[in-house]
Amino acid sequence: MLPTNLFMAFLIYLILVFQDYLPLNPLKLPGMEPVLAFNTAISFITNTDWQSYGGETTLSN
Amino acid sequence: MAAITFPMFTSATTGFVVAMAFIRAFMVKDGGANLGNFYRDLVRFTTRVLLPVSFLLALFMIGKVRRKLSMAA
Repeated sequence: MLPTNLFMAFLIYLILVFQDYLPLNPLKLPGMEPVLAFNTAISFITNTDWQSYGGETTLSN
Repeated sequence: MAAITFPMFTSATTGFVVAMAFIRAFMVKDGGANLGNFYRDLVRFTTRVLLPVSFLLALFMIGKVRRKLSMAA
C-alpha cells in the first residue's frame, strides 16, 4: 500500500506544480507553489481533502 | 481538478482494501499466508463498487435540478 500511495502522491504533486504546462487549463492558471502542492497531495492521499485555497481559482482542470 | 478527483477514489479504495486484507487474516484457515492480491482487490473495488455508485449518484443528483440550466432567462 505504501509504495502505491507514495507513487500516487508524487503524481498528484507533479500535476499540481506543472498545471500551467499541462493541457485542460482554459483559465491559464499558474502552477501551484510547491509547498502548497505538497500539502494538497498528502491531504488528498490520506482522504483528508483539506484545501487551504479557493478551489476554482487555483486548480485547473 | 483531475489531481483531486482521482485521489478521492484511490484513497477510499486503499483504505478498504487494507481492511479487506486485515479481515482475511482472521477468516482464512491458513492464518495469513494468503491475504489476496492487493492490486487485484484495488481494481475490483474501484470498478465494481465505486464507479457504478458514482455514476448512479451523479445521475440522481442531476435529476434533482428544478431550474433551467441554460444561460437564457
